[in-house]
Amino acid sequence: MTATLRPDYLSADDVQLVAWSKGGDTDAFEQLVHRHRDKIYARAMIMMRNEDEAMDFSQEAWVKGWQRLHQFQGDSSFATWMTRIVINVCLDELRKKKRMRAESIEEMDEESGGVERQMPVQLTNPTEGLESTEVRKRIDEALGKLSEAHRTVIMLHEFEGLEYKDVAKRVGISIGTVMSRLFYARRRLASLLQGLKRERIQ
Amino acid sequence: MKTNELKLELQAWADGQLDQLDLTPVRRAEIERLATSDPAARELVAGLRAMSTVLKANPPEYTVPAARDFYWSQIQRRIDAAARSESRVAPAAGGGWLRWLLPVGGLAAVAIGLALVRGEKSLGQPEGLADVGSDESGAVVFRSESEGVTICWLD
Repeated sequence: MTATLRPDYLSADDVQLVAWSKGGDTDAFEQLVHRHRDKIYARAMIMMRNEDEAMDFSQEAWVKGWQRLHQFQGDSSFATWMTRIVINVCLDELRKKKRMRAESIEEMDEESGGVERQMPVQLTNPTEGLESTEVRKRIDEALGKLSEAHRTVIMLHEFEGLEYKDVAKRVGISIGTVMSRLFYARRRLASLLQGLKRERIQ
Repeated sequence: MKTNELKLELQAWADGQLDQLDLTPVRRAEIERLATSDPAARELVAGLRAMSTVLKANPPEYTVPAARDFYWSQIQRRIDAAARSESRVAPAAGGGWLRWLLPVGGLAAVAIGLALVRGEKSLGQPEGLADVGSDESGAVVFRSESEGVTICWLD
Protein backbone atom coordinates (compact mmCIF):
# COMPACT_ATOMS: atom_id res chain seq x y z
CA MET A 1 0.00 0.00 0.00
CA THR A 2 1.48 3.35 -1.01
CA ALA A 3 0.69 6.59 0.77
CA THR A 4 -0.50 9.48 -1.41
CA LEU A 5 1.91 12.39 -1.19
CA ARG A 6 0.31 15.67 -0.27
CA PRO A 7 1.34 18.45 -2.68
CA ASP A 8 3.70 21.03 -1.28
CA TYR A 9 1.32 23.98 -1.30
CA LEU A 10 3.63 26.28 0.63
CA SER A 11 6.44 26.21 -1.89
CA ALA A 12 4.25 25.99 -5.00
CA ASP A 13 3.91 29.18 -7.04
CA ASP A 14 0.56 30.72 -7.94
CA VAL A 15 0.57 29.15 -11.41
CA GLN A 16 0.88 25.67 -9.94
CA LEU A 17 -1.71 26.37 -7.25
CA VAL A 18 -4.14 27.66 -9.86
CA ALA A 19 -3.59 24.51 -11.93
CA TRP A 20 -4.31 22.30 -8.92
CA SER A 21 -7.32 24.42 -8.02
CA LYS A 22 -8.71 24.05 -11.52
CA GLY A 23 -8.59 20.33 -10.90
CA GLY A 24 -10.83 20.77 -7.88
CA ASP A 25 -8.15 20.94 -5.19
CA THR A 26 -9.66 23.23 -2.55
CA ASP A 27 -6.53 23.01 -0.40
CA ALA A 28 -4.54 24.60 -3.22
CA PHE A 29 -7.18 27.30 -3.54
CA GLU A 30 -7.08 27.90 0.19
CA GLN A 31 -3.36 28.57 -0.14
CA LEU A 32 -4.08 31.14 -2.85
CA VAL A 33 -6.67 32.77 -0.60
CA HIS A 34 -4.18 32.88 2.24
CA ARG A 35 -1.51 34.48 0.05
CA HIS A 36 -3.64 37.22 -1.41
CA ARG A 37 -6.48 37.74 1.02
CA ASP A 38 -5.09 40.95 2.53
CA LYS A 39 -4.72 42.65 -0.84
CA ILE A 40 -8.21 41.62 -1.93
CA TYR A 41 -9.66 42.71 1.38
CA ALA A 42 -7.78 46.03 1.18
CA ARG A 43 -9.32 46.81 -2.21
CA ALA A 44 -12.76 46.12 -0.80
CA MET A 45 -12.02 48.30 2.23
CA ILE A 46 -10.81 51.20 0.08
CA MET A 47 -14.01 51.06 -1.93
CA MET A 48 -16.57 50.29 0.74
CA ARG A 49 -15.00 51.98 3.82
CA ASN A 50 -16.77 49.44 5.98
CA GLU A 51 -15.17 46.42 7.64
CA ASP A 52 -18.22 44.15 7.51
CA GLU A 53 -18.90 44.91 3.86
CA ALA A 54 -15.25 44.50 2.98
CA MET A 55 -15.21 41.08 4.65
CA ASP A 56 -18.42 40.06 2.93
CA PHE A 57 -17.47 41.26 -0.55
CA SER A 58 -13.91 40.02 -0.40
CA GLN A 59 -15.23 36.56 0.46
CA GLU A 60 -17.80 36.86 -2.29
CA ALA A 61 -14.96 37.66 -4.68
CA TRP A 62 -13.10 34.50 -3.64
CA VAL A 63 -16.21 32.42 -4.24
CA LYS A 64 -16.57 33.92 -7.72
CA GLY A 65 -12.87 33.34 -8.28
CA TRP A 66 -13.28 29.66 -7.50
CA GLN A 67 -16.33 29.36 -9.73
CA ARG A 68 -14.64 31.14 -12.64
CA LEU A 69 -11.19 29.60 -12.36
CA HIS A 70 -11.65 27.90 -15.73
CA GLN A 71 -11.84 31.40 -17.27
CA PHE A 72 -8.46 32.40 -15.89
CA GLN A 73 -5.97 32.00 -18.71
CA GLY A 74 -2.95 33.53 -17.01
CA ASP A 75 -2.93 36.70 -19.13
CA SER A 76 -2.35 38.61 -15.90
CA SER A 77 -1.18 37.45 -12.50
CA PHE A 78 -3.69 35.59 -10.38
CA ALA A 79 -3.64 38.44 -7.83
CA THR A 80 -4.48 41.00 -10.54
CA TRP A 81 -7.28 38.78 -11.82
CA MET A 82 -8.71 38.44 -8.32
CA THR A 83 -8.38 42.18 -7.72
CA ARG A 84 -10.52 42.82 -10.78
CA ILE A 85 -13.14 40.45 -9.45
CA VAL A 86 -13.33 42.09 -6.04
CA ILE A 87 -13.54 45.53 -7.62
CA ASN A 88 -16.42 44.34 -9.80
CA VAL A 89 -18.20 42.88 -6.79
CA CYS A 90 -17.86 46.19 -4.95
CA LEU A 91 -18.90 48.23 -8.01
CA ASP A 92 -22.00 46.08 -8.41
CA GLU A 93 -22.85 46.63 -4.77
CA LEU A 94 -22.32 50.36 -5.00
CA ARG A 95 -24.53 50.48 -8.06
CA LYS A 96 -27.22 48.59 -6.19
CA LYS A 97 -27.05 51.10 -3.42
CA LYS A 98 -27.12 53.89 -5.97
CA ARG A 99 -24.31 55.50 -4.10
CA MET A 100 -22.41 56.27 -7.27
CA ARG A 101 -24.75 58.97 -8.49
CA ALA A 102 -23.91 62.60 -7.92
CA GLU A 103 -25.73 63.21 -4.71
CA SER A 104 -23.36 65.12 -2.52
CA ILE A 105 -22.71 68.81 -2.54
CA GLU A 106 -19.12 67.92 -3.25
CA GLU A 107 -20.00 66.19 -6.50
CA MET A 108 -22.47 68.83 -7.60
CA ASP A 109 -19.72 71.33 -6.99
CA GLU A 110 -17.46 69.30 -9.24
CA GLU A 111 -20.03 69.10 -12.00
CA SER A 112 -20.37 72.86 -12.05
CA GLY A 113 -16.62 73.41 -12.16
CA GLY A 114 -16.27 74.05 -8.46
CA VAL A 115 -13.71 75.65 -6.27
CA GLU A 116 -11.43 72.63 -5.98
CA ARG A 117 -10.36 73.08 -9.57
CA GLN A 118 -9.17 76.56 -8.83
CA MET A 119 -6.94 75.41 -5.99
CA PRO A 120 -3.24 75.41 -6.69
CA VAL A 121 -1.71 71.99 -7.22
CA GLN A 122 0.69 71.14 -4.43
CA LEU A 123 4.12 70.83 -5.92
CA THR A 124 5.82 69.70 -2.76
CA ASN A 125 5.28 66.16 -1.65
CA PRO A 126 2.84 66.46 1.27
CA THR A 127 3.93 63.10 2.61
CA GLU A 128 7.63 63.85 2.55
CA GLY A 129 9.46 62.74 5.66
CA LEU A 130 6.79 60.29 6.73
CA GLU A 131 7.33 56.57 7.15
CA SER A 132 5.74 54.43 4.44
CA THR A 133 3.16 53.01 6.84
CA GLU A 134 2.23 56.49 7.95
CA VAL A 135 1.97 57.72 4.36
CA ARG A 136 -0.39 54.89 3.50
CA LYS A 137 -2.48 55.67 6.53
CA ARG A 138 -2.69 59.35 5.62
CA ILE A 139 -3.59 58.56 2.04
CA ASP A 140 -6.27 56.18 3.22
CA GLU A 141 -7.73 58.83 5.51
CA ALA A 142 -7.77 61.29 2.64
CA LEU A 143 -9.38 58.73 0.32
CA GLY A 144 -12.05 58.22 2.95
CA LYS A 145 -13.02 61.86 2.57
CA LEU A 146 -13.66 61.51 -1.15
CA SER A 147 -16.98 60.40 -2.56
CA GLU A 148 -17.14 56.76 -3.67
CA ALA A 149 -17.27 57.88 -7.29
CA HIS A 150 -14.00 59.78 -6.99
CA ARG A 151 -12.33 57.14 -4.86
CA THR A 152 -13.23 54.45 -7.38
CA VAL A 153 -11.64 56.35 -10.26
CA ILE A 154 -8.48 56.98 -8.23
CA MET A 155 -8.25 53.35 -7.30
CA LEU A 156 -8.76 52.03 -10.80
CA HIS A 157 -6.35 54.45 -12.44
CA GLU A 158 -3.67 54.95 -9.79
CA PHE A 159 -3.65 51.65 -7.91
CA GLU A 160 -4.74 49.27 -10.66
CA GLY A 161 -3.08 51.17 -13.49
CA LEU A 162 -6.09 51.09 -15.80
CA GLU A 163 -6.21 53.43 -18.78
CA TYR A 164 -8.95 56.05 -19.01
CA LYS A 165 -10.99 53.99 -21.46
CA ASP A 166 -10.85 50.94 -19.22
CA VAL A 167 -11.86 52.94 -16.15
CA ALA A 168 -14.77 54.37 -18.15
CA LYS A 169 -15.84 50.90 -19.22
CA ARG A 170 -15.62 49.40 -15.75
CA VAL A 171 -17.53 52.20 -14.04
CA GLY A 172 -19.96 52.86 -16.90
CA ILE A 173 -19.12 56.51 -17.45
CA SER A 174 -17.60 58.54 -20.29
CA ILE A 175 -13.88 59.18 -20.63
CA GLY A 176 -14.64 62.86 -20.07
CA THR A 177 -16.20 62.05 -16.70
CA VAL A 178 -13.23 59.86 -15.81
CA MET A 179 -10.91 62.78 -16.53
CA SER A 180 -13.03 65.21 -14.58
CA ARG A 181 -13.34 62.93 -11.54
CA LEU A 182 -9.66 62.10 -11.62
CA PHE A 183 -8.68 65.73 -11.76
CA TYR A 184 -11.00 66.69 -8.95
CA ALA A 185 -9.96 63.73 -6.80
CA ARG A 186 -6.25 64.47 -7.20
CA ARG A 187 -6.72 68.10 -6.31
CA ARG A 188 -8.81 67.18 -3.31
CA LEU A 189 -6.30 64.58 -2.15
CA ALA A 190 -3.44 67.04 -2.55
CA SER A 191 -5.38 69.55 -0.51
CA LEU A 192 -6.24 67.02 2.20
CA LEU A 193 -2.68 65.73 2.43
CA GLN A 194 -1.32 69.25 2.53
CA GLY A 195 -3.64 69.90 5.45
CA LEU A 196 -2.20 66.88 7.21
CA LYS A 197 1.28 68.20 6.59
CA ARG A 198 0.37 71.54 8.13
CA GLU A 199 -1.04 69.72 11.16
CA ARG A 200 2.24 67.87 11.56
CA ILE A 201 4.30 71.03 11.38
CA GLN A 202 2.17 72.72 14.01
CA MET B 1 -4.73 78.34 -17.29
CA LYS B 2 -7.74 79.39 -19.31
CA THR B 3 -10.21 76.56 -19.32
CA ASN B 4 -11.04 73.47 -17.35
CA GLU B 5 -11.00 71.53 -20.62
CA LEU B 6 -7.37 72.46 -21.16
CA LYS B 7 -6.53 71.37 -17.61
CA LEU B 8 -8.09 67.98 -18.24
CA GLU B 9 -6.20 67.65 -21.50
CA LEU B 10 -2.94 68.51 -19.74
CA GLN B 11 -3.79 65.90 -17.15
CA ALA B 12 -4.28 63.37 -19.94
CA TRP B 13 -0.88 64.36 -21.32
CA ALA B 14 0.69 63.94 -17.87
CA ASP B 15 -0.91 60.49 -17.60
CA GLY B 16 0.16 59.46 -21.10
CA GLN B 17 -3.48 59.15 -22.11
CA LEU B 18 -3.70 61.93 -24.68
CA ASP B 19 -4.07 59.41 -27.51
CA GLN B 20 -7.37 58.29 -26.02
CA LEU B 21 -8.93 61.68 -26.63
CA ASP B 22 -10.51 62.66 -29.90
CA LEU B 23 -8.24 65.57 -30.71
CA THR B 24 -7.05 67.13 -33.92
CA PRO B 25 -3.31 66.94 -34.61
CA VAL B 26 -3.12 70.69 -34.20
CA ARG B 27 -4.77 70.58 -30.78
CA ARG B 28 -2.60 67.70 -29.69
CA ALA B 29 0.52 69.58 -30.70
CA GLU B 30 -0.71 72.65 -28.85
CA ILE B 31 -1.20 70.69 -25.62
CA GLU B 32 2.22 69.13 -25.92
CA ARG B 33 3.75 72.52 -26.49
CA LEU B 34 2.01 74.03 -23.47
CA ALA B 35 2.84 71.09 -21.23
CA THR B 36 6.52 71.50 -21.88
CA SER B 37 6.92 75.24 -22.24
CA ASP B 38 4.11 77.15 -20.52
CA PRO B 39 5.03 77.78 -16.84
CA ALA B 40 1.47 77.41 -15.50
CA ALA B 41 0.88 74.27 -17.53
CA ARG B 42 4.19 72.81 -16.43
CA GLU B 43 3.35 73.52 -12.82
CA LEU B 44 0.01 71.82 -13.19
CA VAL B 45 1.53 68.76 -14.87
CA ALA B 46 4.26 68.51 -12.21
CA GLY B 47 1.72 68.71 -9.40
CA LEU B 48 -0.52 66.08 -10.93
CA ARG B 49 2.42 63.77 -11.50
CA ALA B 50 3.67 64.28 -7.95
CA MET B 51 0.28 63.31 -6.56
CA SER B 52 0.08 60.33 -8.87
CA THR B 53 3.54 59.14 -7.85
CA VAL B 54 2.69 59.34 -4.14
CA LEU B 55 -0.54 57.43 -4.64
CA LYS B 56 0.95 54.71 -6.83
CA ALA B 57 3.72 54.09 -4.35
CA ASN B 58 1.46 53.99 -1.32
CA PRO B 59 -1.79 52.15 -1.85
CA PRO B 60 -3.54 51.75 1.52
CA GLU B 61 -2.96 48.38 3.13
CA TYR B 62 -5.32 46.39 5.30
CA THR B 63 -5.15 43.04 7.02
CA VAL B 64 -8.16 40.74 7.09
CA PRO B 65 -9.52 41.02 10.64
CA ALA B 66 -10.08 37.28 10.96
CA ALA B 67 -7.99 34.19 11.50
CA ARG B 68 -6.95 32.21 8.44
CA ASP B 69 -9.11 29.19 9.23
CA PHE B 70 -12.19 31.23 10.03
CA TYR B 71 -11.92 33.37 6.90
CA TRP B 72 -11.44 30.32 4.70
CA SER B 73 -14.21 28.32 6.37
CA GLN B 74 -16.69 31.06 5.50
CA ILE B 75 -15.54 31.06 1.88
CA GLN B 76 -15.69 27.29 1.71
CA ARG B 77 -19.20 27.28 3.14
CA ARG B 78 -20.31 29.71 0.42
CA ILE B 79 -18.63 27.64 -2.27
CA ASP B 80 -20.36 24.50 -1.01
CA ALA B 81 -23.71 26.28 -0.75
CA ALA B 82 -23.39 27.56 -4.31
CA ALA B 83 -22.52 24.05 -5.54
CA ARG B 84 -25.54 22.58 -3.74
CA SER B 85 -27.75 25.27 -5.18
CA GLU B 86 -26.50 24.48 -8.68
CA SER B 87 -27.10 20.78 -8.23
CA ARG B 88 -30.67 21.51 -7.15
CA VAL B 89 -31.24 23.69 -10.17
CA ALA B 90 -29.99 21.07 -12.63
CA PRO B 91 -32.71 18.43 -11.98
CA ALA B 92 -35.31 21.14 -11.89
CA ALA B 93 -34.34 22.07 -15.41
CA GLY B 94 -34.74 18.43 -16.46
CA GLY B 95 -38.02 18.29 -14.59
CA GLY B 96 -39.24 21.23 -16.59
CA TRP B 97 -38.49 19.35 -19.78
CA LEU B 98 -40.22 16.24 -18.48
CA ARG B 99 -43.24 18.28 -17.44
CA TRP B 100 -43.70 19.15 -21.09
CA LEU B 101 -43.01 15.64 -22.31
CA LEU B 102 -45.84 14.01 -20.36
CA PRO B 103 -48.83 15.96 -21.72
CA VAL B 104 -47.38 15.98 -25.23
CA GLY B 105 -46.92 12.22 -25.04
CA GLY B 106 -50.44 11.80 -23.70
CA LEU B 107 -51.94 13.88 -26.47
CA ALA B 108 -49.97 11.90 -29.01
CA ALA B 109 -51.31 8.67 -27.49
CA VAL B 110 -54.88 9.92 -27.64
CA ALA B 111 -54.41 10.96 -31.23
CA ILE B 112 -53.01 7.55 -32.12
CA GLY B 113 -55.84 5.85 -30.28
CA LEU B 114 -58.50 7.80 -32.08
CA ALA B 115 -56.85 7.13 -35.38
CA LEU B 116 -56.84 3.41 -34.64
CA VAL B 117 -60.49 3.49 -33.57
CA ARG B 118 -61.47 5.14 -36.79
CA GLY B 119 -59.43 2.65 -38.75
CA GLU B 120 -60.96 -0.38 -37.02
CA LYS B 121 -64.47 0.98 -37.29
CA SER B 122 -64.08 1.31 -40.98
CA LEU B 123 -63.04 -2.34 -41.13
CA GLY B 124 -66.25 -3.45 -39.45
CA GLN B 125 -64.98 -4.57 -36.05
CA PRO B 126 -67.65 -6.12 -33.79
CA GLU B 127 -69.15 -3.80 -31.25
CA GLY B 128 -68.17 -4.03 -27.57
CA LEU B 129 -65.34 -2.99 -25.37
CA ALA B 130 -62.21 -3.84 -27.19
CA ASP B 131 -58.51 -3.19 -26.87
CA VAL B 132 -58.08 -1.25 -30.01
CA GLY B 133 -54.50 -0.21 -29.77
CA SER B 134 -51.41 0.75 -27.88
CA ASP B 135 -48.13 2.38 -28.68
CA GLU B 136 -44.62 2.59 -27.28
CA SER B 137 -45.57 5.33 -24.87
CA GLY B 138 -47.60 2.77 -22.89
CA ALA B 139 -50.96 4.27 -23.79
CA VAL B 140 -53.81 1.82 -24.34
CA VAL B 141 -57.10 2.76 -25.94
CA PHE B 142 -60.43 0.93 -25.44
CA ARG B 143 -63.50 1.61 -27.52
CA SER B 144 -67.13 0.65 -26.81
CA GLU B 145 -69.23 1.28 -29.85
CA SER B 146 -72.42 0.41 -28.00
CA GLU B 147 -71.72 2.88 -25.22
CA GLY B 148 -70.20 5.35 -27.58
CA VAL B 149 -67.21 5.63 -25.25
CA THR B 150 -63.50 5.66 -25.90
CA ILE B 151 -61.15 5.17 -22.96
CA CYS B 152 -57.50 6.11 -23.19
CA TRP B 153 -55.25 4.63 -20.49
CA LEU B 154 -51.93 6.29 -19.95
CA ASP B 155 -49.46 4.03 -18.17
